Amino acid sequence: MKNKKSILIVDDEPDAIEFVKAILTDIDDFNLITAKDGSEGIAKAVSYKPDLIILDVVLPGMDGFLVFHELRGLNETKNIPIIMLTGVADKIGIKFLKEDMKKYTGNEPVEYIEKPIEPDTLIKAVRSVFNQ
Amino acid sequence: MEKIVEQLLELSNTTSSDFSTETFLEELSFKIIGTLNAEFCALALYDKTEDQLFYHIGCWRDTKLSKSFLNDYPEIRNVTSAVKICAEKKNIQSFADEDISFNLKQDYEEKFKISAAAVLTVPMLSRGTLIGVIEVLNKPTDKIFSEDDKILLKIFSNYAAIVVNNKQLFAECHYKDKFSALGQSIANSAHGLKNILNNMDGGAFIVEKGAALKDLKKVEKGWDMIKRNTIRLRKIVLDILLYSRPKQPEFKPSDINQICKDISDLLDQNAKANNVEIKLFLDKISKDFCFDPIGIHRCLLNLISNAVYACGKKGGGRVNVTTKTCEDDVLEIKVSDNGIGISKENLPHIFDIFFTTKGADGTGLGLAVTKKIIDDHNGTIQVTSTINIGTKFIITLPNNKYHK
Repeated sequence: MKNKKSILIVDDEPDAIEFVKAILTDIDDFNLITAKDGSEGIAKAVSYKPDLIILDVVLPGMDGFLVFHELRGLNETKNIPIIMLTGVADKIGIKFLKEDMKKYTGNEPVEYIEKPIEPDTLIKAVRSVFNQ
Repeated sequence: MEKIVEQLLELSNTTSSDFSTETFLEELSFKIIGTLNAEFCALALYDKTEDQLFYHIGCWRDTKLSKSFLNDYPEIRNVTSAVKICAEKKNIQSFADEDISFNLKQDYEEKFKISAAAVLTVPMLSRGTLIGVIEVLNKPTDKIFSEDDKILLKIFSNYAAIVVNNKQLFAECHYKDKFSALGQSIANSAHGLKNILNNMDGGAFIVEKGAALKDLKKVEKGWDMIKRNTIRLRKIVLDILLYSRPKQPEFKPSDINQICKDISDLLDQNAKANNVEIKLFLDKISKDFCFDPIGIHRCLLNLISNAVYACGKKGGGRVNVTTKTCEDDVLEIKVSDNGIGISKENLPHIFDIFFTTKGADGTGLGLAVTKKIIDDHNGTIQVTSTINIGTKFIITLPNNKYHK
């Protein structure tokens, strides 16, 4: 019997979480954990050690980039692959193109997906993480 | 010298950030004519993009024929055809490099059919950059311009260069500010709307899945998502309309204390759920005080619910609402909280349309609408905030009874 993979979804929009959950359910039977802001996301990432984190960039309080850096700085979470989600031009003065993202995060995250989410794009990104 | 000091003083009195460059230049020309005892003064400004000097003003001493100089000689609007030809093959930038004052008598007479005894031309320079050229023509006594005249004209021209340059820089900054504010608003609104769009797409995705699986529960779930987000979208669109509509408020005698009580009741349940206490400190205020009760209700609802939110984010707290009348028939309403506070970098942006730090909980319209309503009342709204300590908003409203 194979082990169920777990995915942590961090997004402050409950409906956006539902959307992501619905898409993931199509791929496989995952263990889905959710968090509505950055600090909850980090706490859950540390305690559950998920196989993948899907992280929204625009979060109240601590934004997705800060969360990303925190996660990379912690031993428990530094190797967990992360897919980032966001609308366009999300933060004052910063336009979030994929190239710009790299400046912030090195060559990570695994994938950067723009909202509104295209289910196929997310499916492809998740599959690529688990096929590695 | 005394004369020029007086003239400069008069000129400086007329300059401010909102003066018109043309008016200033015209005023300047007359001052120059008076001080140098010249017959005519023309002023050309340098156009960077075209690398050309263009005449803006030409004034005669006796008649106020200011603009007619340009009308009479349309072909010389481009000053290169006048000064430059006269200056014999000098290129425009050379005006900036050297001191030019020639006797151009012959050239002027030929070109403009004006009898010219003397011509004096000096560049307008601001920190070495060429802003324009001033030239004066003729003394009535048929004398040529003296060295003193040249120095006087240079003083005028330096002053004019600074004023014109500042004006240009001011206009540039103003344009940039406005443009970037607009761009930022569009970017912020795009984000809010994209989230809603994403949720609606999500709803549709779940409805489709439910339909394919004949799973009615799924269909309902997706449908609810779509409905919820149409409500959000409707609220945003209505707020945008409210914000942009040039509607005048309806001033009438209203009871500010009653409005505060109503809002406190309205938010009470939500406040308690978040461990927040709303305290009212209401002064005795005349119910004849005039303002737009619907608009002010809206403002205070925004401020107080923001305050409750800020306290809730800290795990609880207290919101104080104070009303009092000040001298000169001014009403003051204070909303303070001991919530999470607003960061220094966000504080200047809180009234910007579509600016929000509340993620899914905010539309970025509440404070923008609040500010607009207060402005429509000729009132003021001030904010002070310290992160993790709290935030205080103070609104003042004049009695608007005479604004029917």
